[in-house]
Amino acid sequence: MRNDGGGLDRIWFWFAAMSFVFLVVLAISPIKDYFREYRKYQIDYRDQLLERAGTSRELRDANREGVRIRQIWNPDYPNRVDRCTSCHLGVENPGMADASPPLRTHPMTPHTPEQFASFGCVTCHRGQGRATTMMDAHGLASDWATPMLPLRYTEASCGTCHMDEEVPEANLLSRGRTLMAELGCYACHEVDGHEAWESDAPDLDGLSRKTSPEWLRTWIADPQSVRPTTKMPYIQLGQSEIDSLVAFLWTRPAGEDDFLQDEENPAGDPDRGETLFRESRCISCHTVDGRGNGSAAELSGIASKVNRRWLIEYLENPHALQPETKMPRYYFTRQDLLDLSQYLMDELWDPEAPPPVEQAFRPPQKMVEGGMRTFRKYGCSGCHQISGLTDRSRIGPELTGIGRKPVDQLDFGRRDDLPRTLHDWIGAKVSSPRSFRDGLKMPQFILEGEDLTAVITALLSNTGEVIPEEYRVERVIANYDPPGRFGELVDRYRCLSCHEVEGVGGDISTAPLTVEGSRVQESWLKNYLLRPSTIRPILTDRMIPLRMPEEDAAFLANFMQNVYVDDDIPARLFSEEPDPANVRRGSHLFYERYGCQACHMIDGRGGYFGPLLDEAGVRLKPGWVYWWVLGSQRWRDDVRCPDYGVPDRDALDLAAFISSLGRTP
Amino acid sequence: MKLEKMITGSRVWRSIVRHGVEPTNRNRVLTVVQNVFLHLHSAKVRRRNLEFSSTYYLGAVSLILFAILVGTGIVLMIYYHPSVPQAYNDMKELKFVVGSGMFLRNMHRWAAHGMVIVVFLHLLRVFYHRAYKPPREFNWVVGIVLLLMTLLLSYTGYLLPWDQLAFWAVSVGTNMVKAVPVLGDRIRYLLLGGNVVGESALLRFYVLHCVILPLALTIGVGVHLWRVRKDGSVAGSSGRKRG
Repeated sequence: MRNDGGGLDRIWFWFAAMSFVFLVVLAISPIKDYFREYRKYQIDYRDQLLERAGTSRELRDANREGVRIRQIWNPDYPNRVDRCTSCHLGVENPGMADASPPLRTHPMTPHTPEQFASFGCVTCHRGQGRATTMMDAHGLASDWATPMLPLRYTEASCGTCHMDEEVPEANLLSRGRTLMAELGCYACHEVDGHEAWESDAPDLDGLSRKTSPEWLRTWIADPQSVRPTTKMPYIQLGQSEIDSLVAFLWTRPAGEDDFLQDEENPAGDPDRGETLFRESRCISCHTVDGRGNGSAAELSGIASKVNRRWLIEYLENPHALQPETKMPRYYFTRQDLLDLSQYLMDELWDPEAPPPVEQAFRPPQKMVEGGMRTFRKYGCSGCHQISGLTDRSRIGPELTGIGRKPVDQLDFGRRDDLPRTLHDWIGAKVSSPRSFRDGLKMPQFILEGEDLTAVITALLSNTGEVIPEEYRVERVIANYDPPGRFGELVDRYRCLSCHEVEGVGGDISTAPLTVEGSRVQESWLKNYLLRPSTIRPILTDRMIPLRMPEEDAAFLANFMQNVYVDDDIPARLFSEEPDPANVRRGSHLFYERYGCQACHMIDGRGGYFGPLLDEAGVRLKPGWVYWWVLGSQRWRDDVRCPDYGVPDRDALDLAAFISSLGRTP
Repeated sequence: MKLEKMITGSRVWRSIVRHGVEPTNRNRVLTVVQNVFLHLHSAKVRRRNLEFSSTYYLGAVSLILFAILVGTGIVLMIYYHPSVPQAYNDMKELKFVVGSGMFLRNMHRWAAHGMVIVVFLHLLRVFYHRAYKPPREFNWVVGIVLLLMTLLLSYTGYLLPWDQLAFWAVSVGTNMVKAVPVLGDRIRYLLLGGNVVGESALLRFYVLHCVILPLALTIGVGVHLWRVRKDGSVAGSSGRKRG
């Protein structure tokens, strides 16, 4: 079949036609390149800049803005390239605060816009930094596993670099991390950096000496219905599981049935007990019907929970029964114990609690063994220690890296109602863990609203990413162990349950003790330890009278005077008594210039927000007052005493005035 | 002696060693003229083998596709780093930053798919036209080798984007190699430069894909075309007597 002339013509025609089609096809790609998505934003941005330009230089700069890709490139931060600024053009330009997105200025954050250049956008917001189209950049394309975080969870990203539990200015994240530790997530789940987590749930040995099986049953069935503030979750156990668990707990160690027959403790005087209860300021830590500090257990209903004999033993020496408790050991006399316990047993009982059955509870061995299995199955030993079960294995899956898990690796189970996003999944897992499928063991925590968002944020912050050293803000684990006799006394009085020293200890007291020796005078401190007086009338949780012997008080005061000292605070401000003229000028400054009486009370006049200053001359050292007035926030960030920028001379005179208060010349 | 004769007398031997070592001038000229590497132009070309309709069909289409692949491939090499994780990032750069980057990538990709398909059709056509019969049996074998190389190029190129698809395809493929008796594990090790699909596998596949296989294919195509000119193409064997 040879080609004739006509066939060749036909071929040339198609050759020409195809060439033309090919040319057109080739033109499509450059045209698409030219009209990229960011083009219209960049032109819009330039127009807005031109509109806003006030100087000829600004005008020139604006004119120079062409259409091009803009990016933040950081070779140190795993070669990160963020091109978000190709559309979000005004991020670093404070003049664009009133523009509409995507041209608007970035809102204020703890990091300044200049710092953005060092870590980019994706570090905090996630999404796909390299992308230059909206769908891809926001991570909505199907090939990207980490879409942008909804703004309400952005604080999670603070936590990728800031490893501390408390991250400054990230309140939600800090709250979430605190909640995770408090609720005991780490009891069941392993998380990098939290291997050393310790539960403060009570040891469960000797429950048969303390409480009744009925109370225990009610408690295990639903702890929050008995005490709404408890951290123990609702385990959702069946009735037979509850019964066997009670049987198991009751036999650790085997019950002493005669414990209820209390013959050695005669009745006490409840009226005197009530006075003792008030005087000892139990509500500095405990609550009664919700009133009080709330850092220790609610006491209403205590009489239905424990028996009097246990209560007396506990009040006598809490550390013998619960070595890890935060409760200090008071010096109560025998009569004090009888009266106090009588008052508690008479007054603080729960009318809804089941009445204790008088006869002894002797569970069959099979039930006890079943209880042990239940105890193991639900991971109770993650929080509670009990003899015979030393392995504190974690029953939940490890959570390191959960904050970056790709959605397609998540098990949504029955929850077809959930949007397919990581944060929704975590939220549902945390708030209703058993809804995913049958046979799950995670208990029900009460987490709603802000708390739920906080925990989701904390979990999202756990990305397991390797952040370069220079970006990481490592977790500081404070460690302070007071030495020697001082340490023994601090342990006995559990000072660190309320006070903080070098980052260790409770936050109930407003006064960290770290520089106590530079702050107060030794004689006053000794008296205060013996008979605490009111310093801040506004607080309910005040210093408790521990009834300590004078010898202990003197030793504690002396130790702190010599050891808890800061050299920056002048030890001796005045070499001799200040001139009365300076005192007068100080008084004038106090009342007229700075208006300190708005918060501080002297001789019954003034506000009650700050500490009373009646005895300030006896209590405080002049050097401390001087140092404080010059910048109280140096002491603690959250000090509410305003920093007036007091000049040095004024500070000296104020110190002279305040140190004259309450002193008889 | 008998064995030697059996070997030297076989068709395979004669199609490879065509002239022997006879020290005559004629033989020397024949040896040169009938060797593609020594004499690129065929000494004798039949007129009808040069006709448009006899030449520009599936074989030519695959050659054009190969040319497109070489062209786009070289440009793509400018943007590509055979390293982890930059390889995947480069895919993103091509998509989001490089001018006409997606066009380049898609050209390369579709041309590659097209080449595999067209080469297969070419084979089918040759097969059903019985064009593998003498005198073109040598070219048939060359063609089969070219098909294998096309497939290998396609397969090695598959790993280079370094995405999930690539990773698992190569994981599966190289695990299949393991099934080869005795040498399976070693071949797999040789291919991957290790025991897992990692950065050294990526580098090996890159070198194979961009240097070794294209070079081999180019040479193979040269032999193939030369033989086409010499022996005649598929069309020449459609049952008609030679003109």
